[in-house]
Amino acid sequence: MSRPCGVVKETYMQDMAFLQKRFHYVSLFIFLAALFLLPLTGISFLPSFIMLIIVFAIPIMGLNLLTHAQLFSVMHSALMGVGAFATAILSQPPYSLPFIATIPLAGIIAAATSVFFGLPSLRIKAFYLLFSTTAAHFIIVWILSFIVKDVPGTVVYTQPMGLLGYKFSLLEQYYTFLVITILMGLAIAHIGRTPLGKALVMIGEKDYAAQVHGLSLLKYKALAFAISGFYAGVGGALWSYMLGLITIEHVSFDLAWEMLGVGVIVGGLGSYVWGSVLGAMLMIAVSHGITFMVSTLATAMPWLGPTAFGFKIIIFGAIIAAILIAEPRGLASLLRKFKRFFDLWPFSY
Amino acid sequence: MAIEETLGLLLNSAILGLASGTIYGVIALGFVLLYRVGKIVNIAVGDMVLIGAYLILFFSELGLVADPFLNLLVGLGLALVATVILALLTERFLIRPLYGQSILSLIMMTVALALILRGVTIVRWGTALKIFPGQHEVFPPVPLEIGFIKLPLVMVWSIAGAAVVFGFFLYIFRRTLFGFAMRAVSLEPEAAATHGISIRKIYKYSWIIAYMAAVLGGLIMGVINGLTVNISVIGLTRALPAALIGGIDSPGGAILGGILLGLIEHSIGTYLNPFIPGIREIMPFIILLIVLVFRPYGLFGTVRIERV
Repeated sequence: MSRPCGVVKETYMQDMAFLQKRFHYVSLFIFLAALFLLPLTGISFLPSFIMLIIVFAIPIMGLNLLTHAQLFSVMHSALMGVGAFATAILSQPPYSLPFIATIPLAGIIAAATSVFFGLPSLRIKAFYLLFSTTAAHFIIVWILSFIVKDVPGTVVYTQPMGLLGYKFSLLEQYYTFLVITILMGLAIAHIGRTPLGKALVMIGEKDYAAQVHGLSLLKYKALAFAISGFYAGVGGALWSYMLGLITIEHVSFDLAWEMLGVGVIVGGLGSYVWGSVLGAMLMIAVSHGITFMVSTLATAMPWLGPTAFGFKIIIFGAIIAAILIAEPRGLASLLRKFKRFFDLWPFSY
Repeated sequence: MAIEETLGLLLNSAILGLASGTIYGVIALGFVLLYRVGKIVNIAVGDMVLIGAYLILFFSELGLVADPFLNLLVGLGLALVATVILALLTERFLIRPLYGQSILSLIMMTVALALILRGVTIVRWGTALKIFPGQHEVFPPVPLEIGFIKLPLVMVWSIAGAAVVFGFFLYIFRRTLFGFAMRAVSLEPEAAATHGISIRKIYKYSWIIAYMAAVLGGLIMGVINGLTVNISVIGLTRALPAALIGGIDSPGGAILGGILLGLIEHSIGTYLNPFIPGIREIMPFIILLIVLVFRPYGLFGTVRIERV
């Protein structure tokens, strides 16, 4: 980490701290306070909008960790689907589990799926994994389609989020989502700093070198897929709670590429928390912005309606291309530059 | 069931498999070429096929020639010219700024290309099903009957076309000076550059050839299934598995992988489908996973030795 002159660390605790400068404390506090207070302003679309960002930010955090270890995956929307379907089924009458139980269970089921389909990563590397996970995506969706085969309308409903018979209101659900995200974010930021995270980065750089240094590739690759799958499963669980239902159409292959391209690459590869959050924000903001614009312009220009998806993916493509050329480390790197600018503001040198 | 009928069904599905397999192979050929020459993993193959098919539609709808066959041919020719421009633009503005960067950046750039191409198609032509003008006159929907085999005429054309394209490709790659330069660049770019081969030119030409293969694949895909956005799915679900099964850097492997996939899809897949619904669509992926685990470099690919 770069440090302006005059900033002196005296203990290891200070040196390793998450937040090192007063500016960081203040801005994080303002950000979190804003997140907790914003829905109270009464803007109707805000809570569900932020919840949708959260739903995608959590799986993207896991995907970011995985991609940083050079384990590319495009099965994450399918894993989200696994989590969502698991939650929907577990919350229904034969089980009727509360969300405290369903969310971890959904995570664990998705993690197991992820590890199973991640095992080929021991034999194959880099972009070959993109294709093995493409295969995994379609196989997982195919298996999921058997679950909904006999369900009328192929829609699986989720019981609303609640505890001991009490049903949460939208606002309470929002705060639950927020707390879960903060916990998951703290956890993944910590994983990046533990020996596990360092080992994953080393495997990403040169996996045979990591092997020579005594790291078990099986253990660490399986762990990476497990963690990432757990995050995807939790995201999927929140998704099904938010929508109240889940269908097989939600689990699309394009979504997996959007999560990898916009969420991880544009957000910032290697910046597990902020990169993922920024990526998810951009992803949701663009797709909702397009939908909003098309619906407002629909009366004047009715031909616009069916082309909304086209405009959305053109914008996504252009953003990915622009970021790759101009700022390969993603939006997180812009954020870092911004923070550095304010380090010694207004007396910078 | 009479023995002739069973035999006819079997042969029919075999020929259907062969025909669709050769299309997968031709599309995979463009992918293999780009990988061999520039180490570019081109995720956008399916979307290149899509834009190619719609460009043919665009130019043949202009109706420059009255005769439907010639009209489609003119459309194809103009589409090929248009994709040359598209290929040059792609290479110049999307790929060239990233040479020398990590493999993930290049892959994601082709993803961006895929999204842009598909988005432009949706915005310009919509999502409704379309067919080429005069398609039924050129490729009559009446199947060709030889004994007990019923064969759609399109399939005959596609097999013949694929054979011609593949032969042409192999001739250029193996026998001409230009193909020699391409092989040199794919083996050792720096040594090739010191011997006076312009790497940049070779990259440009490989993009042009990849786009052209995609246009030809798009013509046949469009004739068989009609034109929708779903054509682009063929890239990631059929052509890339075909290339990987055959070996990612082997042109012959791409064709054989495609034929293998087509045959399995239309024989085993079709027979199992009534018992296990959806198995036909999943079959290529199961085969792909098995091949990747047991022979990561494909059936005919070069086995690379890892050096520490």
